[in-house]
Order: sequence, then structure tokens, then C-alpha cells
Amino acid sequence: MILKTRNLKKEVLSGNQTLVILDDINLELQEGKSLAIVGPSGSGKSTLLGLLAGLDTATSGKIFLNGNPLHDLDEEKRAKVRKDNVGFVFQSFELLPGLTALENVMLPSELKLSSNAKKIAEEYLERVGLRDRLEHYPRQLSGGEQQRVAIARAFACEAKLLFADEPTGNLDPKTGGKVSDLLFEVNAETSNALVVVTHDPQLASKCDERIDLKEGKTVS
Amino acid sequence: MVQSLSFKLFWRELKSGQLNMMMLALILAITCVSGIGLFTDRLEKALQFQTAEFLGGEIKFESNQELSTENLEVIERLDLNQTKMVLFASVIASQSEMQFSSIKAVDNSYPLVGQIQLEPPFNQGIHIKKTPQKNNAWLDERLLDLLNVNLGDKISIGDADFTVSHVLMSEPDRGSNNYAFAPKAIIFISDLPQTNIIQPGSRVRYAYLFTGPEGDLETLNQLFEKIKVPGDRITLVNDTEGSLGKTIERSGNFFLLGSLLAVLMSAFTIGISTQKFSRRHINYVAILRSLGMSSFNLKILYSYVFMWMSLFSLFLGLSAGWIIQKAFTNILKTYFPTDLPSPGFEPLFVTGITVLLCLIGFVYPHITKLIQTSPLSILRRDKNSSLKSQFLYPIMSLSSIFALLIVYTGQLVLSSILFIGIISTSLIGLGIILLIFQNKTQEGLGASSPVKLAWSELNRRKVTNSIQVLAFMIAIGLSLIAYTARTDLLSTWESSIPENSPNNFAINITKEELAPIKKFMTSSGIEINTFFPITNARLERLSSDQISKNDPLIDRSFNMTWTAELPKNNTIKDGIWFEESSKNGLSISDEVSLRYNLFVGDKVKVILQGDEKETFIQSVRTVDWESFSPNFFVIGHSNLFLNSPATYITSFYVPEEKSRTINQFISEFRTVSVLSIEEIIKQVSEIIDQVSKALEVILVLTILSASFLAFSTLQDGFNLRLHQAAILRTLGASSALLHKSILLEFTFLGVLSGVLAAFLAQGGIYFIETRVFEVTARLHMDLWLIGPFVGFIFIGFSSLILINSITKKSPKEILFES
Repeated sequence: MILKTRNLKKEVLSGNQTLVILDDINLELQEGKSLAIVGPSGSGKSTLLGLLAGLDTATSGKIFLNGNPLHDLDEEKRAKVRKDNVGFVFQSFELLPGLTALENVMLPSELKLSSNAKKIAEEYLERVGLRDRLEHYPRQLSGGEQQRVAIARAFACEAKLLFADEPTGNLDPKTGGKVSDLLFEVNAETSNALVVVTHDPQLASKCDERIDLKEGKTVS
Repeated sequence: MVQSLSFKLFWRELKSGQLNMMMLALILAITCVSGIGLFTDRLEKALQFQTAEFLGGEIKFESNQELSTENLEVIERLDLNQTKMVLFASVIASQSEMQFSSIKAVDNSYPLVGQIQLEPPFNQGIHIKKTPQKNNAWLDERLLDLLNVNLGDKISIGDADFTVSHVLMSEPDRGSNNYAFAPKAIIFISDLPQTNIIQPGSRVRYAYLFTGPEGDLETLNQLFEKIKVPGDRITLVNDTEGSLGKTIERSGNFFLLGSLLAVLMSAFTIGISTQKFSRRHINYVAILRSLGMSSFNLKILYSYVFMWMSLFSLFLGLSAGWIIQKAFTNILKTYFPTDLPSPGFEPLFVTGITVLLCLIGFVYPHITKLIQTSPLSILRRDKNSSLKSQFLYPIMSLSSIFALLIVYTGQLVLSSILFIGIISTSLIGLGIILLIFQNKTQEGLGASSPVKLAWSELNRRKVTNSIQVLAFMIAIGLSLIAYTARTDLLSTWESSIPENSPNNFAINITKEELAPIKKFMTSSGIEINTFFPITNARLERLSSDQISKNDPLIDRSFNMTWTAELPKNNTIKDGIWFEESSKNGLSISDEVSLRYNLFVGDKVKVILQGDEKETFIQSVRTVDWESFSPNFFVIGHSNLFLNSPATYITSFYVPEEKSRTINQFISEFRTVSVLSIEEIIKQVSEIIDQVSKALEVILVLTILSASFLAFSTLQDGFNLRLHQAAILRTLGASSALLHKSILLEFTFLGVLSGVLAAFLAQGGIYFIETRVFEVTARLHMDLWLIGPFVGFIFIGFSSLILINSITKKSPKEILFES
């Protein structure tokens, strides 16, 4: 089991009111499988992704990521879990503008103190079809290309679990389709588990499992 | 509609705290400028009054002859107040004693400026505006003692008898008397004829004092310049300066310098804050534009927002400024005989101009760029800045800095030098940074270690870093300038009144009295300084063919001395001091050199009691007139004055516990005059003490504005890093890695800024020392240590606070909600 949650709840304070964003979320994901989190805007999809990835803390409930109890860990320890287990693809790419495509992809390996960061980055960039774009800066790349760099960076983490937040949300349907195909192809090659937050039914249909969220709760 | 929308916008920004830094900077600038401006304005007016009081009027004309009826008629036509005095020296006799005294006969208008202090006082007041009644005389305390008389006793001056009606404690025109050291008496001018003292050929000085509107005084000055003959003397109020005046003038300069520095730093802070403001408003403008708001209306909208902000800041800044000037005025109030005059409107005008220049130079370009935001920006964040708007900020901000320099210094040349200094130091700084970080030394971000990450960031962000370094450099450098200028002033003042500096002068000492006086002082345990011989002699250019049309007449005689050793507090500026082998020559002060166009090598003659001796100018000296020791305009070689009649002058320090010794001295050496300057020294020391406190306040204000600048620069830099830090943390970077690398990066930038700041400060201080304070420039080694140290501590410490603010936020909060 790569990911497991028990009675997960997230509340936030808005003025004097407490808003429940997520309530009683229970899910499980086996290694190598993919999961789509689907739901309308404001249903709590991104909040759930943040919690699962250890970027945020829950109000109550438990999260186990590759056996690590994220609910018991402080930010420093969660950062280590992320470094060792998790890769990310964001809707808005989140590439560092001052780094080239190659350098952006090298980042996760650098953080892992890997000695062949450059080689790993080159391999993944080649895999996503950007062999000739290594020295390009994000501003010099199209939206689709930027997302491909982000995918290469996520896989360069050589993580067991990949999180993708609306990976095609900022792309046109044709490019979006190509990017999602690429994401699943590479994922299949690496046998990683994949969690995708999406509005896109086509993308969701490519996943092994699916949970639907509505007003912070899972609907069956 | 735009008006109410602008107020809502302003109010929302204010409440959210987004305008805090910008408004604090503007308020601080206004506080400094108005507070210091209002205070120095009042101080200058008070000082001018005090100087006028010292002189007795705003223009003084002295002559051996009375003004002709014809000239008096011309003067009558001017709108001036005037008084006439007759000054002479004569013997005053009491029943038991006779004493050579200085006598001043005054008319009904006396005193023209200020008041006389008498004992016993008239009514309840001590200070009065009154002249002696007919056949009455006012005598100073010393003369009363020397003549052995009391109030109500009779004395005679020439053929006339007078009743001693009051003891003269002080009179306003202390600087008017040629026989200032002799004991003094004042009588009414209409009593003068019956004394029969003034006869043709008598040595009498007629002094005319005037006050009135500037234009009429100028006309009068021109008239006097026209009718002036050798021996006549015109003194204008601005010519007079004393130790106190110089102290206050220099501190006034420091106050202005402090406010200029505070304004410059506030202006930079406003620029940085406005840049942030406009970044935040890009979407807002894009939405308003997509909803159809015209550029013109947007311009009006934002002009109003900044107008509200300026009005708000002006209200708070002027209130704080008023409190500051009030506090400063209270500190110094006791040292001025009358209330300080009300401030004029000029400081308020300067404040208004300052705000306007800050807005034009540092706000307008950003807002212009903001208004150019395309409505498309909502859909796509594209950089739409035109070339024109990119150059607008540097051009406008530099122009307004230059304009501010001119407003504050009032001098084009000095402003240009300062401006070029700031620009060139900035360019050097920029060059150094770009040189250090010209190569990318590694591939990747270097996220594997804090040192590598810091080094990589320094290289990657060399342009933004260099701008930050420049801002830090300005903040630290200008604070160092203010700090050093203050330290300079304090040490100059301290050295001007060293401990145990002479507090008494003894004058009119005969040659025969030298040995007994030395013996008296030694037995009393008082150390006595050099005895300088004095003789009164005239100086003239040697031959007419040497005199060019522009060379002014030497229109006065000098109290000359002769000595083999260069007196203390004198330095040779040109030529050489008398050598043993030389047998001739004069050493003149640089004031005499400048005033009469006399230079080393010029041939002159000294006329001493009708005896003419040819000589030449051997050296020009710089004299520290503020030192409390005998100083001379003209010092001659002793050969020139062989067998000349002379009296001697010396100075000595009498500690408080031995003050009675002075009374014994006076009664033992009755012909020697003792002049105590204890009170003057005390007053100057107290004023220096109080002014030092005011200097501290200015320094704190300057450092505060520097902190605002440094902190807002740092904040801006950290905002840029917020996003990157969130991505790195998402990918698993530890907070420790970010902490260490950012701390390393910023402490390095801090130290670098500190070194450049020391460079800027050393240059700035050089100009301030030589051009503003007019003291000798020196190398300040401490700057090279303090600068980098302050950079290291302040920038490092502030960056720690900001790093915590970055790492405390969860990466999700930054990435998902941005």
C-alpha cells in the first residue's frame, strides 16, 4: 500500500466561522496503480492533494504515505518523505524561471545529492521529447513544452508516487491529450503510483481508480 | 465617481497594511524636512538677531570723522532706524582714584537692537531699553572697583561731573568698542560738550548703527563704500561670527545634511514600495481596463490615490515635524536672550517641494507603467512595458535626486559633485558585482548544499542582487556619513574647548610687570601661558606701482605681535615661518591675505608711531579663531619691533576653587586688565551639549529611514524568493537548507554592501568636511570596519526574520493559492 487515509478531515477558519473543506475521507492506493480525484470546483480536490502529498496538515485523521505517518510528522520530516517518495506535476507548471529546462529537471536529483543529476535529467527530457530544448528557459517554451519539462522533473524524482494537479488544465485539448498520454506512458514504464486531480473525464477514465468529491465528501 | 473609487482604494490599501512602508517612508521624510527646516529657520533668525545684537545693528559705519550733513540727509531719506555713538578713551577721576577708561556716549535711540543689563534693575526687569539720564554715568563693575566708588558717588570726565547711577552688567553692542578691554563707562551724548574732551585732533571714533529693510540697508552700504576713506570701517551683520555662531552654523549644516540623507533614503524606499504596489495592481488595472475604463480615468484614479496618501502623510509628518522643532527649540531656548522668532514659510515650501519631487521621481514612472497594463494581462501575463517606460524610472528618479540635492544644498556645483559621486559609486558597485558574478560556475541550482545554493543564487540573480546591494549600500553609506559627520562635529567642538583651556586674559601688562606677574601666578599655583607683546601699527603696500586697481586699501591698523615661535592653533598655509637666520618679514592670517590681496613676497611697510619700516609678507597663516587663546592677524619678525613701545597679553586657566586669586591679582596689578571668558566658555559648552542631543535625534531619524530602505529592499527580494522556496520545499528541500543558503547569500551581500558603503561614505565625508564644515579632511579607517560589520549584522539579521516568514508558510498555501 503506497497511500492510505483514515477519517481525514480539514477545517479552516473564515472570520468567526469554521468551514469544513474535507470530511471523513478514506482511500487506499496500491503501488503502481493510478487514482483520479474528480469533482466540481470548490469540492476540496486540491486541498486533498495537498494533504496526501504532505504539503499541508489535516485537522484530524490519518495519512500514511509509503508507510510514513504524515499526520504525525513536522514540516521538516514531511519534506524528507516528499524528497524520497513523491513527485509533482502542477497545473501552472511551477518551473523556476531562472533555470533552464535541464536545470529544472536536475533539481530533485540535486536535493537527493545524486552525483549524476545531469544524466538523469537528460534522460527524462529525452523521454518527454525535449532533447533539443535542454538549455531553453521556461519563457522560451510553449505551454505544452513547459508541462513536459514539469513531467520530466516529476519522474526525475524517481519517486514511488506521483501527484498531478490538473496537469492539462492550462493546455488546449490537443496538447492536453498529448501531455496526458505522455504522463501515463512514462508512469507505466516506471511502475509508479499516480494520483491525478482533474476535471477532465477523459483523463480520469485512464486511471485505475477514481473517487468523486462533492462539498468535501466522497460520493459513491 | 473616480474620486470616491480612489478614496475607497486608498482606504482599503491602508487598512490592509500594504501602504505601510511607503507611507512610513514619506511621513519620515516629511517629519525630518519640516521639523528640521522649521527649527533651523528659527535658529538662524535667532542667531542673526544675536549677531545683530553683538554688532549693535545690521550695518555699522565707524569713522574718525562725523558723517557730513549732506550724507546724513541722504540717509534720512531711507527708511532706517539709526543711532550714533561717540567712542573715546579718557581718564575718569573719582575723589581718590584716576583710571584710564573707555567711554561711550550714546543718543536717545540707543540701544538700537537688544537690551542693556543694569544693576540695580529698573522696575522688576533686568533688561531695559534706556539711555543714561543727563549728568549720570553707568560704570562697569571693574571700573567701579578701580575708581573705588559706589552708586550715587560723583566722578569727573574732563571738565564735567557725573553721578554713578547704575552698574553696567552688559550692553548689546559689545563688539562696537575699540577699547573693549579697558574698563567702561556710558554717558548721554548731550553731556559730551561740557566735558571739553573732544577737541580737534582728539582720537575719537564715531560709530553709526542702522537697522531697516534689506533694500535700504543695501543702498546705505553702497553709500558708505563710496564715501569710505582710510580709517573708516563698514561692518555688516553677516561679517560677524563667533565661536558660538560657527557651532550653530555647523550643526545647522548637519541638520540639513541629515534631513537630505533621510529624504534620499525615503525616496528610494517609496520607489521600491511603489514598484511592489504596481505589481499588485496589474490585475486590478487590467480588469478596470477590460471593463472599459480609459487610460485618462485610470491616471486620475491613481493620482487621487497618491494624493490621498500624500495628504495623509503630510498631516502626520507635519504634526510630528512640529513636535520635533518644538522639542529642539525648548532645548536651546534658555541660551537665547529673547524668545526664538516664529518660523517662516520657507521650510513648509521645501517640505511641499520634497514631497512633490519624491512623487514625480519615484512614484510617477511606476504608475505610468502600471496604467499601460493591457487588458489582455488578465488572460495572459505578458510583459507589455515599452522601451520608454523602462527608461522612465531611472531618468525620473535620477532627475528628482538631482533636484532634491539642489533644493537642499542651494549650490549647483556641490549638487553636481554629490550627484556624480552617488552615480559613480553606484556604477562602481554595479561593476564589481557583475565582475564577481560574471560566470555561471556550475550547472544546476546547486541545491545539494547551502554553500553551493547560495553561490548559485548570487550568480543567477546578479542583476537583482546588484540593485539590492546598491540600495543597501545607499542605506548603510548615508547612515555612515551622518554618523561620521556627527562624530566629526563633536570632536571638533571638544577640541575647540580642551579641558583647562584658558578662561582669563590679562592685558595691558607693562614690561616691568612681567616678572612680578609670573611670580604671583607661580606662587598661586596657576600656570600662565606665553606673554605676547602688542603694539598698534599700520600696514601699507610699499609702492604705488605694485597696487593694481583691484587691490583694496588697507584701511585699518592692527594690534601686531612678534614671537619666534609659531603660536598654538596656527598653521602655516603659505610661505615659511621665521627662521633664525631671517631678520625681517611679516606673517599674516589668511583673512588679511584674502581681504587685502596680500600674498607671500608682497612688499609692505609697517608704520609704527610715525616710523616706517620696509618689510614683506613671509607667510600666510590659518588661525583657529575659535580657540580661546590670544590670536593675531599680523605677527612680525622681532627685528621689526626692536625698542617698540609695547604692552603684553597673556592667558591662563583659573580653576573654580581659585577664583578669589583673580581679585587679589586685580588689586595687586591695578593697571592690568583681566578679562574673564569663563561665562562664554560655559555657555558654548552647554550649547554644544544641547546641540549634541539634537544631533543624536537627527542621526536616529537618518538611521531609521536607512532601516526602512534596507528592510523594504530585503522584503522585495524575499517576495521574489517566496515562490522558488515553495517549489524547492515541495520537492523535499529542508528548511535548514533554505535557511543556511539564504543567510549565506544575504550576509555576503550585506558585507559587500558594507564595503561599498564605506567607499561611498569616505568620499561623501571628504566633501562634507572640506565643503560643508570647512575642516581638514581625514581618512576614516573606522568606516571600513563599521560598514561591512553593519552590513553583516543588519542584513543577515533581517534576512533571518524574513526567511522564517517564508518557511513558516506551507508550500501548498503559496503554490495552490497564488
